[in-house]
Amino acid sequence: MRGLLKTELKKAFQSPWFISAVLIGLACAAWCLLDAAKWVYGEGGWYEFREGCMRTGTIAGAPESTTLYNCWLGMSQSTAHTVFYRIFPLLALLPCGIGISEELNGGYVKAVIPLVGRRKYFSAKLTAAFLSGGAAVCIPLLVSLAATAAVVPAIDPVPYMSEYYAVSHGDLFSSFAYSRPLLYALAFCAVDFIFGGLFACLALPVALRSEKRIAAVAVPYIALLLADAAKGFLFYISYLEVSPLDLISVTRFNMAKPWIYGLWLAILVFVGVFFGLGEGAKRDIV
Amino acid sequence: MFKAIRYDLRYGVMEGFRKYLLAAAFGAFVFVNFFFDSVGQSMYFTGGPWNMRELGLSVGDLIIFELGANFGRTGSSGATSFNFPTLWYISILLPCYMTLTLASDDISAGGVQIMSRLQRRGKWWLSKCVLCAVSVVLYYLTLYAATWVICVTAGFESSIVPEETIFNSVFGVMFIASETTPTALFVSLIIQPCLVATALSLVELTITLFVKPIYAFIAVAAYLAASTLIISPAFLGSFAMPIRSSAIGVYNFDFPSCLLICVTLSAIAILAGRWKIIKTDIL
Repeated sequence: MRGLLKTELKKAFQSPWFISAVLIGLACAAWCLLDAAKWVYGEGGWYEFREGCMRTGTIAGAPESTTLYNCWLGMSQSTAHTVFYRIFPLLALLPCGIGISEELNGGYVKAVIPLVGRRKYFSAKLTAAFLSGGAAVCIPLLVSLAATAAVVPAIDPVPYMSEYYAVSHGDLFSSFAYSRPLLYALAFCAVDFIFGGLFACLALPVALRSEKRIAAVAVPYIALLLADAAKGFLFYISYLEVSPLDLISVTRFNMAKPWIYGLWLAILVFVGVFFGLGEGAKRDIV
Repeated sequence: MFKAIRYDLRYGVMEGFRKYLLAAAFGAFVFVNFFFDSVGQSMYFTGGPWNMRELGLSVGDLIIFELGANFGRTGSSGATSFNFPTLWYISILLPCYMTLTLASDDISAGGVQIMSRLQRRGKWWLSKCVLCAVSVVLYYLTLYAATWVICVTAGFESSIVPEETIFNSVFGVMFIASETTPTALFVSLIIQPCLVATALSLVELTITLFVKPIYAFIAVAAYLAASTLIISPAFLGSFAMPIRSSAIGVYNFDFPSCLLICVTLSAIAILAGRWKIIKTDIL
């Protein structure tokens, strides 16, 4: 099992799809960094404003409005942030999605499964998909956090500037969002890793049912977008954020309740394990 | 040439009719979204969810509210004011996905034989482009027909003109129905999105000749996501957003410009694809 897992991990992390996903994510991080630099050092930006205040001796505006914690890719108001979180599932699905489909519809499984068994093969595949999908979305976020820290001052956010740092009472990790903002940012990277990994696992159930290689990536992506669109169904009754794509993004007043995260995790694990691993283990390979 | 087109349409459209069921299912999903939004508006304007009929909502409202997209990011109010128009995004991505592998699948199947029998690769490519355009148009016909039928059956009006009060409440800008015509609204709500989706699908189809289809899909997905935020003719998505059309009157994404850009882009895509397919070593 260990050897198989090692092989699957190597395939996933060394595939051109993984590198492509990380590069696309890094492009978003670079775009976000440029926007952050413009807001801080550009004409009429935060730095110029502070200099003007100091020169004229007037009271400076609240410096907490522009800080590392609302300028990195995970929480920025940049266009790059929106683009990144809308293609987030696609980036997560890329490293393993195409590979799973190619192996299932090609002859590879017929050679491997008699040697290692169906359950072990699909378990290793799911584990590799989870780790590579999570890493593909998490690496750009971590790089963005580090690179933005070199440009924007890491001033602690304050609750009265919540327009710029959208964390409200009762949100996930809100207990330390203001006291330990770096930990909060890292915690959201971990959440995004888990969700990215689980999104990547959705490729297996689709690949088991479709011969089209692109379907393993595009179908879960469109399904997740539909789940995002369905957030308005109960909005006037519940006022709760249920969109998986908004839950993983930190930038809105999203009423992100921990139990909804738990529910989504349960749904994604169920789909991945039951429809992926379960059906894969029963699949006739001849 | 026409034989190739007839062959493609027969196997691509008639025998692949299940994908149009997907468009109809998406239309039903859009309606359910609209229904819940209408419940919310009804609670706001009439004090309860049961008086929805008093609002006088129509098919035009459905298209504007659910598939109309947004005004983009304006001012400096921050990201909290920005709602990503997911349904509009899916409505364009779906035809792009449906037509994504038309060329690459055919090449890896029996396309090479068809090329040699047609004696000209350009003819094969042109028939693929025709199939792509027809598929997108049929997708939109199915989508709008499905939403129209469900709307009318559920008791909503069949008019294409949005309700002014609800529009002003939802989008926070004035819309005066008397300043536009039903024809102008029909063009911006129905024709423009279809035209843009056709052009984008053709461009995407051409890109699949140069890189793997998945890269073309990601490029289109990212381009469309950027269109929702950036208001510029360079981002063609703006022309496909009924809310930004000249008929609504806030932005001036008008039909003549849309037609010109889409036709030019499609022509460039078709020519680039033709050049690429002629240069490709199919052996």
